[in-house]
Amino acid sequence: MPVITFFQTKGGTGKTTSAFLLAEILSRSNSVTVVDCDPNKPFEEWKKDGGNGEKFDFVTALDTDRVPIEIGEASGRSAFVIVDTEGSANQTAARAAAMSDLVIVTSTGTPLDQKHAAKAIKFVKAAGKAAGKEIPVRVLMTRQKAVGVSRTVKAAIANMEKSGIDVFSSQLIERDAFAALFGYASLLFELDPKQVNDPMRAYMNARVFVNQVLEVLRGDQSGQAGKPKSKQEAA
Amino acid sequence: MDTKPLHDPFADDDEADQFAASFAPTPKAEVEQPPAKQASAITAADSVSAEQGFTTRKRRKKSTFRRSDNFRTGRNVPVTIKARSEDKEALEKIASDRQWVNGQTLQYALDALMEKINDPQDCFWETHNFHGVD
Repeated sequence: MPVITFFQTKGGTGKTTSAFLLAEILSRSNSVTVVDCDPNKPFEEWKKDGGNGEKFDFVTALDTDRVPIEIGEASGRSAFVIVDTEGSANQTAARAAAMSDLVIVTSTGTPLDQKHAAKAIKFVKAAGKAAGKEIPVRVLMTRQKAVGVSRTVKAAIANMEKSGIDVFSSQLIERDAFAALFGYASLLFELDPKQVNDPMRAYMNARVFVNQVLEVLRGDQSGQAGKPKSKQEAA
Repeated sequence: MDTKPLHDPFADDDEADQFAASFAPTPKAEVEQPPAKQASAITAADSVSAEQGFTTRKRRKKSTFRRSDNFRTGRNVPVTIKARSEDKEALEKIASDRQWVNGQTLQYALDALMEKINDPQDCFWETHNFHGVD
């Protein structure tokens, strides 16, 4: 039932990879439909490239008027609806975000990503206010270094926290395995350790992120937005 | 001696998985009216996205046809008339001296003639008193 939208007005921030990971892991426990609103049709491409064995469904919806209908229909079919949007400030993505129970804004922490993340968050808050409801929004730091945090990223996170923006304490690390999902058109669970470095670590990384998403939804269900746990707790 | 079992990271995370499994699709009755339920969210998204300069991939409907969309001058009808060669030359000279096109010159000439027709007392009619075919 929850609609989770990955929304960022800039491309290349890891929306599709994060959406894929969330869909793959959640689909092991419950039904999931991905609504792909990206004109590059990454999910369709993944399938065309030989991707199979996925437990989630996906539909491509590019038309602005079609998106709310597809989201509505997907909600009737699946327990989770994950919407992957195009990385630009477009009305289709805006509609999807406004219809969501959770909006995840992805950012690598670079100043340009942060600028667009702020734009996306402002939009979600304004749209929620205009619609008379609060749309929970969380920032997910993606493509992070496995070791060490750059000053830019530290500053970006500190700025967001200062502004009261909730940031997932788990971050998606720049991993070979994540890139390989689309490179080999494979599922995370099926990556060959001989071909790809450490899929197990990638899984752990993704799993912590998924658990935090569930925490937020749990908080929402109990009437209070779930604050992300600390990194240690999450791990 | 009890040994701690090796942690299997690929094993299911019971608590989180149980919580994930507790969700269910939206009941059909509610799905059938998504526009009503989500109408305010969609309206809000549209107005805020328009304010914030979001683009749309929606094809714009063609506005009602206006002549000026295709014919900027509106002069798009060919006229073939038999005239005296000196009148043709005069028309072309007036046009070329003023860098007008022939259609424009004809238009001005007709406007001027209408003024004369509307004023039967004009001195023009003293020299141009036509009756029937000239």
